[in-house]
Amino acid sequence: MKAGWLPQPFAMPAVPPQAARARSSRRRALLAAAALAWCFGALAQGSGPAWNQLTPQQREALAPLSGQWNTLPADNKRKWLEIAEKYPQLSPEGKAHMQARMAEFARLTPEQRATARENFQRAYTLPRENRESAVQQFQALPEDKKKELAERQRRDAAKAAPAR
Amino acid sequence: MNQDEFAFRVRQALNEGAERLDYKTVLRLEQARAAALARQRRASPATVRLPALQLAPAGAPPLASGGGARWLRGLGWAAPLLALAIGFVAIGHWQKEAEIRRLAALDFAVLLDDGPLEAYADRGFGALLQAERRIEP
Repeated sequence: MKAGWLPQPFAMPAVPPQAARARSSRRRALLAAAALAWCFGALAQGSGPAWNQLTPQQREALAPLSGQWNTLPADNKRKWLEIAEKYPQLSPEGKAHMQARMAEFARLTPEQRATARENFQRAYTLPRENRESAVQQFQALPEDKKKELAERQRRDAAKAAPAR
Repeated sequence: MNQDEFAFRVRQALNEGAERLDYKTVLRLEQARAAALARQRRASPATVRLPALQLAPAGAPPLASGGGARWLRGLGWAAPLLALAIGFVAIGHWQKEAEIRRLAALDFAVLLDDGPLEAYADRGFGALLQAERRIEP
């Protein structure tokens, strides 16, 4: 017979009701505080896995990042691990091509990476000829002209952004 | 004598009888009543406070139900707060994961592409792309 399932009127501790109430209230406040602490803990992640914690397969895919891996933010590491998962599906040429660009991409500033993603998406809204033409034009430009263009683009983007 | 009249007379007789009781009898009756009430209070289970927001069905006897849900009721007002906190964390985590997956897919495509990275990373290249777009019919 399970004693726990029976009413136990005489097993109640003989505590004055006020003290019991205060104790239960304290316990609830403690539980609530623990829950909040857990939330903040869950939101603020650690620094992610260290280089020597990666699997050999992940290390092979992300080899160009080995030097800077331990300094990357946790979210950035998660993103690269996601890329490393797709890496084995590539052909040997594809793997070589990706690794050659990987280190260069990781060296970009966060702002440059955001611009690269934006321009990449914009480039693929154009037919191949227009895309290649834009690349050729850009590579033929002198540095100061490139800077001028970039500045103009920044101003246009600021103008296009909704006023706050 | 009809039924109503009989009932009236019986009531009258009982009332008169009660009024004629001497103080000792009344006192004994009162003491017996108080003792019976005290015994009943002792025998009944201790009062259990239930939170205004309770998770179990309102009519369920608090102590006779399963012990599994008892700790949940013990949480009282902390239970909905806990549920809310868990919900927030779950939504935040899910959104973050979705964003990481989106960026990973995009970066994978950028890395596999043949276009020069230094051009992609330059805002000036964006201006040229826009110009190409305007030319395009």
